[in-house]
Amino acid sequence: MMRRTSLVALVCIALSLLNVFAVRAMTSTNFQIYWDSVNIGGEDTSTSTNFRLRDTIGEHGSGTSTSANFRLSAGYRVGDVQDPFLTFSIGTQENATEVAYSAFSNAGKTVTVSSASGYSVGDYIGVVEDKGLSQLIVTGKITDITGSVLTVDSWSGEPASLSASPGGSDDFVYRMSGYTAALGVQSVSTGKVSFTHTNVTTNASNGYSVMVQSDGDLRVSTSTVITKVSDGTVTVGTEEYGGEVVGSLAVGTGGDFAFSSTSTRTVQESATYGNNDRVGLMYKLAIGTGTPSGNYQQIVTFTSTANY
Amino acid sequence: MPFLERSKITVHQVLNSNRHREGLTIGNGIILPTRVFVRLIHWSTMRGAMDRPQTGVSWAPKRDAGISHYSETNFMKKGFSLRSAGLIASVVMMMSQFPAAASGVTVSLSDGVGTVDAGSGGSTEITTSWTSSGIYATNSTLTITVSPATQDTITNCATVDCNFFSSAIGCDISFATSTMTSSTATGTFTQSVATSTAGGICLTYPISATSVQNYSVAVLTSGGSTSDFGAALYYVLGANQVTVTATVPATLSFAIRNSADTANTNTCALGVLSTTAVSSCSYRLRIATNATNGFNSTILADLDFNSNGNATMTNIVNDTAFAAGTEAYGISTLTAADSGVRSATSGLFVAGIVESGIGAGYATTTFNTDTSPVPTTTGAVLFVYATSAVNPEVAPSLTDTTLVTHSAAISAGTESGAYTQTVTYRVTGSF
Repeated sequence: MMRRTSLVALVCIALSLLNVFAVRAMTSTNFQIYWDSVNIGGEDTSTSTNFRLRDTIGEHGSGTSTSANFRLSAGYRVGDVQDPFLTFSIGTQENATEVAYSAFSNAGKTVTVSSASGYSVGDYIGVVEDKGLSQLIVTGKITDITGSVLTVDSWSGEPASLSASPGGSDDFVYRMSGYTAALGVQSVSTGKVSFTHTNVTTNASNGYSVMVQSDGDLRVSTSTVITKVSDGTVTVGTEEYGGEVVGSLAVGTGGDFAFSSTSTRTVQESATYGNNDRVGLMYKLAIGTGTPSGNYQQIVTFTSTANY
Repeated sequence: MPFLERSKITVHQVLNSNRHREGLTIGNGIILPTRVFVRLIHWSTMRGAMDRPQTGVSWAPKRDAGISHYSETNFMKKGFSLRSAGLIASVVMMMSQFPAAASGVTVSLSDGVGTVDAGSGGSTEITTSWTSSGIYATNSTLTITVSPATQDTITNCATVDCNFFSSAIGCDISFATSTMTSSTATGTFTQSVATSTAGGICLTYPISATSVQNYSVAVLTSGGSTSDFGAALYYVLGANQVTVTATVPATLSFAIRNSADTANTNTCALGVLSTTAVSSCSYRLRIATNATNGFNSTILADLDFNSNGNATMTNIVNDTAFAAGTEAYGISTLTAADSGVRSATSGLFVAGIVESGIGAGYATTTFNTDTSPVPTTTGAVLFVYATSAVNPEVAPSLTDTTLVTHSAAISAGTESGAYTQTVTYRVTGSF
């Protein structure tokens, strides 16, 4: 009896130690495992920066079996409930960080800039090719900086459309940590654009939505406003203001839309879990010769809801 | 179904079955003498409650899979009581792990002003609301998790809000202070909550007053037959807002154009006057500005219409008609642009320039009604104006420019000579 007790105790201790190692091995900042069942260790809850993991050891016969009328889910964790989580953040182009770039790689997740000073690992960046009303954009989070090459976790936006070697002098990289989309001083001959990226992570099994709504027109006052785009395209020389959203999870792509202050507009949507899901939302402005002078302003509010 | 029938196993059966033990890990690696934990869900009901074993959860042994085997004799003889107690404890702990019907619910947040994005930092009372998808049994657990953690411990609201029940029944959630941290608050339902009950809980979150941050508030109920979960966001200090700004620089232009608006001019020649006709000449004022409040223009002549200082022609009396044979000089008609001014309602440049009248300018001259003398001695007089931006069409435009016509008539006694007058217009943008 004593030997048996000691044996059980030793097994418990050994498995507990394995458990510790397993916990460390499970920690990750880039991957998401909602449930696991490993036979060398287990932990009720392990966490990392973005994720929370529950695991179990020593299971036999776990899994799912089905028949015509029944479904069997076997395993210690089978009935457990995920701790719900939803993270949402935005970041907007910071004009002061503008730096030219000379090469872009979609597959390699890199962009080569003229100077990497001012950028740090962990920064979100935006890449703009052909700056202006027809610009292309991508966004990503810096994971490495080697010399003048910035490597990101992934590209979101229009990465397949960007040139490997941009041809003009209007191709730039920006840090995307601001909350002001500064369109600057306007001229009739040039349209101005800024953009915001979203970032959604959630374990909501039915996905999530991201909506935008404005607090009114882009305006100096309630009576002095920029005309909202109505023809689907903000055009140079014509007073128009609107937005465009791009990205694989973007909703309502393919044209410029007017922001509404009376209803929300869905700009990003997923029907399943989100893992650093991003889209880019551009603000586009063009003025005409008669556009009233002044300092214009508008607040665009983003909201995100998870569908559990 | 390899080793399960339709969930008829009782606790007694579980105890007997447990002779063949395997390790069950609960929490931090604690090994309990239990077996594989199974769940059977009838697709037509999807219930998993322990109190409804026929449709919910079952538990079954998998023989020959344990760490060791006990003979019936040894089991009865050695430490039966101790084992029984252990097994009962195991079962109790196992029961606590029985799966519940888990459902995602829609969670909404509301702060003191009833919104989710008006957070301004500091301690904020936020009500987290949702609708139960099933029954929350008495003593079920409610865990509210805020992420990232707040800067201090979550507390109850000043007015404890437990609104899963009406006030007549009383508060139905109890939060012990000891269960509250900066990231979680764990409470207990003091009464059973029926299915599809809308309710919520108000807690005070010590949110940093300086950190622009979106906070996730998650709900998780457990311990009963229903486990609801969901999360929503609370946006603080504009963490979900972008302020779009743009500056449109000021512009202002003014030109005196010929009557066809095809060229600039600085003359208006009345020609040789006669007593039998009224002579006239015209020019246009082309004014453009993006001044938000439009522009004002004034008119002022250096002197009356005169022949090099030797003779002065009589000014027309305001709003009286010119007549051949009667000496008079002045502005016979003023036709302000009828478009080119930004409409406050449509934003289009479809409004017109305004001719000044009584009260707007020279008290004795009403430019909005013809005719008008040219003011000379009373300082600049408001002539035409607009209250919003002016953007005339590309020249020539007879609609977006203002036409000014001067006329003169002489009598038989009008002195001969070459008469002139310099009229000065000044345009000021109203930015």
